[in-house]
Amino acid sequence: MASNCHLTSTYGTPFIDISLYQSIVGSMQYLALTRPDLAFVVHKVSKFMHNPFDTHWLTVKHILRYLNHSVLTGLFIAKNVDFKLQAYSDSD
Amino acid sequence: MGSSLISWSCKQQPIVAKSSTEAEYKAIANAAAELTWFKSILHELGLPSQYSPILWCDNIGATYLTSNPIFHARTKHIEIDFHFVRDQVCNKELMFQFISSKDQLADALTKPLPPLKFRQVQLNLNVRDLPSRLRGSVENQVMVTEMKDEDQKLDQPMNAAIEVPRDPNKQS
Repeated sequence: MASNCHLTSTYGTPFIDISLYQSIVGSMQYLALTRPDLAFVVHKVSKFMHNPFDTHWLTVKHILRYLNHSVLTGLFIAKNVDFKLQAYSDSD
Repeated sequence: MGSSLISWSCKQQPIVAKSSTEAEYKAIANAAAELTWFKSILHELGLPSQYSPILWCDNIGATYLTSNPIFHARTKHIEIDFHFVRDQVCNKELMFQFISSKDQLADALTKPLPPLKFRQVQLNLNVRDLPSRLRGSVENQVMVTEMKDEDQKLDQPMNAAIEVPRDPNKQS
């Protein structure tokens, strides 16, 4: 997702096929369970499930293109000897 | 845990925060709750860790707030249940450390990043091209082996009849 991308729900042309948007984003939510790199964008586009605009649809297509090129990418969990827990917390 | 990512979450905070420190502090409280759960489940599995977990946070104010039980004019309204992290820090069950936001791994979950930074964080989160193939691509392999089997059947009909047909599920 471009760092200057601002999605809004106040103005824009409504996207015609709402159920298509909802079903695609709904599937992405399942995908985000195993792909932390998707968590943020999926969260972002999920906010407009009730009333998507064309700009939101463009973002969804952007995500789909990213997915197409990163099919083989996934979370790699390596064998470990230390069980040291670390957490990162951030807010924006 | 170690170098593997085992849990992550990206969600909108349900409460309005008056300052960035307050927002970070709430995020810390959520992360601390998750860590407590992980500690207990590791303990249950018989893998207790001798180190206390480290929580990295990129807001100095929130880091101070976890260790220093002073009341500040701007933090006096923060709900008491968020302050349970203080008890944990007091009992040395949790350690807080400051991390510069350019090394903050959780950045990928809170804001859109420029491509280069995104790649970097992605690698650090251990999201990478997997060396082993996943289920989606197994189907192709199965098709190829089935075709080979059929070729063999054509060549040697007697042997093929004896061979037990392979279960496609077992190949994966």
